Amino acid sequence: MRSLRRAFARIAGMFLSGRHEPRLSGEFEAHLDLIIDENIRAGMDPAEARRQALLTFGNLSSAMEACREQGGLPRLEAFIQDLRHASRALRKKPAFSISVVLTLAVALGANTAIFGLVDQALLHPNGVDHPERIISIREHYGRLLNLADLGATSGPAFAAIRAERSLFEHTAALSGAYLTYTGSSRPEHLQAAQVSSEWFDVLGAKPLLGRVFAPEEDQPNARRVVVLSYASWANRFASDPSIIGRKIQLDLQPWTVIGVMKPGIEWLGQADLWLPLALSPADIAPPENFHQHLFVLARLRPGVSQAKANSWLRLFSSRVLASGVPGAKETAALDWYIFPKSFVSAAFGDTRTPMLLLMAAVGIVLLIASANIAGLMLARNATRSHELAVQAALGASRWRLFSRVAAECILLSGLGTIAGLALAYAGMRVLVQWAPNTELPNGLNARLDIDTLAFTLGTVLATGVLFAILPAWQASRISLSSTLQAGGRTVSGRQRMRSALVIAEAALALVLMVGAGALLRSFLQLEQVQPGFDARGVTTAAVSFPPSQYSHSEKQIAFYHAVLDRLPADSAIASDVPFSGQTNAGGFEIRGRTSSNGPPTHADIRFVSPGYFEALHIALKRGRFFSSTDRIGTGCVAIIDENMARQFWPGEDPVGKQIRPDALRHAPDGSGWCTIAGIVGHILQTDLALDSGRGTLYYALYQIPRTFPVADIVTHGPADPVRAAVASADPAESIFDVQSLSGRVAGSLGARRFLLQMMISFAIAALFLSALGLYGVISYAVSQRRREIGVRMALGAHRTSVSRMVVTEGLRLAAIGAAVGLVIAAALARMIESQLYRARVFDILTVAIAVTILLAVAAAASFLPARRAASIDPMTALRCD
Amino acid sequence: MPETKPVWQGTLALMVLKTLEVLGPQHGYGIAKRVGQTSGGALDINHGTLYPVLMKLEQEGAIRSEWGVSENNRKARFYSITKAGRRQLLAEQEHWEVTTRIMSQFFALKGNA
Repeated sequence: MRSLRRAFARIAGMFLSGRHEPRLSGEFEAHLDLIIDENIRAGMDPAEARRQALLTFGNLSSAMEACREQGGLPRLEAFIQDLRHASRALRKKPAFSISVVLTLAVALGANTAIFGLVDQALLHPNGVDHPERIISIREHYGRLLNLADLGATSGPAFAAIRAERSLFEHTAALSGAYLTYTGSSRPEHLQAAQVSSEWFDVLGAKPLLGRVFAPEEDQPNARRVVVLSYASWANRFASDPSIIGRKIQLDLQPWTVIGVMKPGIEWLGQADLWLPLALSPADIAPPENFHQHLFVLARLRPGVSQAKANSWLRLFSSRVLASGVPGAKETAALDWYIFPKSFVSAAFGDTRTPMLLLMAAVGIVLLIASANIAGLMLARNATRSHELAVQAALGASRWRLFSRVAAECILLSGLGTIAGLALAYAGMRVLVQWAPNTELPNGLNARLDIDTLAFTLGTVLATGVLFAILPAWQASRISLSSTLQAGGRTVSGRQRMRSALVIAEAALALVLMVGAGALLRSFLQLEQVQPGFDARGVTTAAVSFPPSQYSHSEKQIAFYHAVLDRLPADSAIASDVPFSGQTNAGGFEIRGRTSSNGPPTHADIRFVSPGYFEALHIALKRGRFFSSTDRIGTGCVAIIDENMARQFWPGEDPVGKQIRPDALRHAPDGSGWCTIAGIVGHILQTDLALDSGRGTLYYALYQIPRTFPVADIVTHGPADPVRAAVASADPAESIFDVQSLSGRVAGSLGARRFLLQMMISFAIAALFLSALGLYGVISYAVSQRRREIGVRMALGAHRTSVSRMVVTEGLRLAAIGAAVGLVIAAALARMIESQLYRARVFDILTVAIAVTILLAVAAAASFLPARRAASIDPMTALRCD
Repeated sequence: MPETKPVWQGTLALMVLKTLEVLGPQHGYGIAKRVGQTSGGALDINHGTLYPVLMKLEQEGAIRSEWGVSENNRKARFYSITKAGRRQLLAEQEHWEVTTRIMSQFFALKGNA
């Protein structure tokens, strides 16, 4: 306790030293006066009295010094002085200081930026409280192609989970929708998320203003209330704080704004606003059990594990199958059950490996940068050893020598860290703007929070140990006599260490290059993949149909006709287009077959207008396309693709056979059968790298007696004719989400492209840094060996052989590094394999190219030192020291 | 003058505390004189060496100080012992007595000769 008080007093004393001294000197004077008085009383004269008083008191300045030391923290103050010296010394060597600070700043900045994003995405998704307690409810169809992990579930399942309060503290469902906001100059399409009342409770997200939905607002026909996202509040309503309680026009209806969320909660589809889901009793009862259209999240009660939830869900699934609800028998044959998946892997799972790869790559760059800095510090030690030896001879202890060198390192680290953090923040902003929205987790912000700062601090400490402590410790081991005598001849151990560092750098650079090369090859392969349709020149635009205006399918069909009449012949309308990120799928029956034999009858579904296949140049294999004669009233027709033909009618001609969609299974008087009119080529729906294998079933848009909330218009050429056509067909309508189809297809490669670009950047940075390191080592070796080279040349060696010697040394280091790098790459190959499309990491061509590039760069880095070596004048080299 | 010994480091602090406990508030000169007197002149300290000790004691909270007027009307800084200081003094005093007793027993041991 006493020492704690004393410590605080001393720390304060450091800053308040100015206060003590005048007081103390006053006290000393007073003390002296008292002694003098007594001396005078004892009979001395004033001069003698003062002299005796000073003797009695002792040395005034050493008393003051002793008090000063007691009042402050001498070691710390000495260190601060070392820092001041260090800053002076570093300013005298700007090239060294700037290169260290810059290297450190860039490497640290890149690492912090990447980690910051990874941390937000994988560890601490923005705005979510304790994400590890949240699960996403998924469904599994074992016997259907690629539907082992369906991200949606049904209304009845949602209701049952919500009712099971002992396991699930909060349960909520989400369904996406588009709404038209008419309140500004033009109608705007907003991405809405329809959520049940507990949605924000599940996430643990609190509103910034106002409140979130109450349970009574989450009912059909309840008051129309809406919660805005922070971004749309800032952009569309100018962050007006009085927005709460105001009514806004959505789909031509007034909705009351009751709350605004904090920034960063838009994810799961970049929602602009949230509406109540308002499920009706019919939505959560049979026969809805196998209609999966809701994304459901549940927060586990404290103490409940995911395994427990899993067993309950399996039990629930088997109860549903045994309950005899419509569709249960057929579904039971498909190996169906409901299961939980952790929220983080559901929301961000696909991106885990790429993010870890990025972290590894940028970490490698940091290692290389640290090695460079260590090399620079070692070189600096060589030039500084003389000065340090003198200081040691003058009495500086080993600690002081270490402290001086460490002060320089700490100063450089500190500057590098500050610059690095600034770069990291800027880098994060750039990355967040630039990274594709589709597959990289959305809702990423550029921000440096506690985790990221802790990571930065940890990295700085680790690299500090790597590049600072070792050289500093070595410096303090200066042997006085040898250094002062020999005039600073290099210790060969130092040179070996630097060479080892360069070899390590070259190895790491090669690893990155091989990795980047593999990703590049894989990407190029993917770009060649044919999706089955011709996207050249095709523009797509979406239209949304507010239910209040388009409650009947006739009105929608009339709209389609009106629009297509005003567009060129090679245009069409579809319920959705490929690569738009959505697929619908459903089951069907085949007339004359029972469902027990053959593969489960399930396929992707799309509703298209006549001209769709022609617009996208999808090949016709047999039969015919849809035509204008297929209308409501004429017989229902369907078109299948080759995959379906192969899967369900092997060896037969499907044209003319009849199927009935599951949706019409219980249609009255046995109607609902559609005749297969043609077979078209199979197309890829979402990803060039992944073909689900499912066939696609097409129905004629004009025949379908149901309304669609959204439809896509497909045309060749620019979007303006479409805008005009839509406006004239219905002035209240407008188009949104306008993109070229080839843009969509290329966009599906967005995440891969981003990863590739980053990896290539890191590989180039690694190569550049290694080249710098190699240059440093080789040119230092040249300068150290001047005399030897002078001797060689005097003895007849040709200039070219001297430069060849230097370049060979550089190539030797690089070659060893390449060999080590190949071994490391072989060990790490598996990490990257999952990201590759039909490519292996160790492709001979890629590896050969990488090694060649490395050697070429090494040769280039050795070029200048080689030239310098060749231009050494033997006379001057031999003469001076 | 009898042989003076240098003052052991930690003990000076205790002497200061005891002096202040017995004499009450004192200025630096008074403490120095008293220490010299109490030891009968066997301990000779430079008065200046008192001040780091006083500073340390004040940092620890064992004494406090304030400006005052000395007996011959000169301005001086007076030190007084605090409650914590008294406690510390008591504890150290006991510790000393125990140590002394043990050491005397050791020194009382006779050899075989």
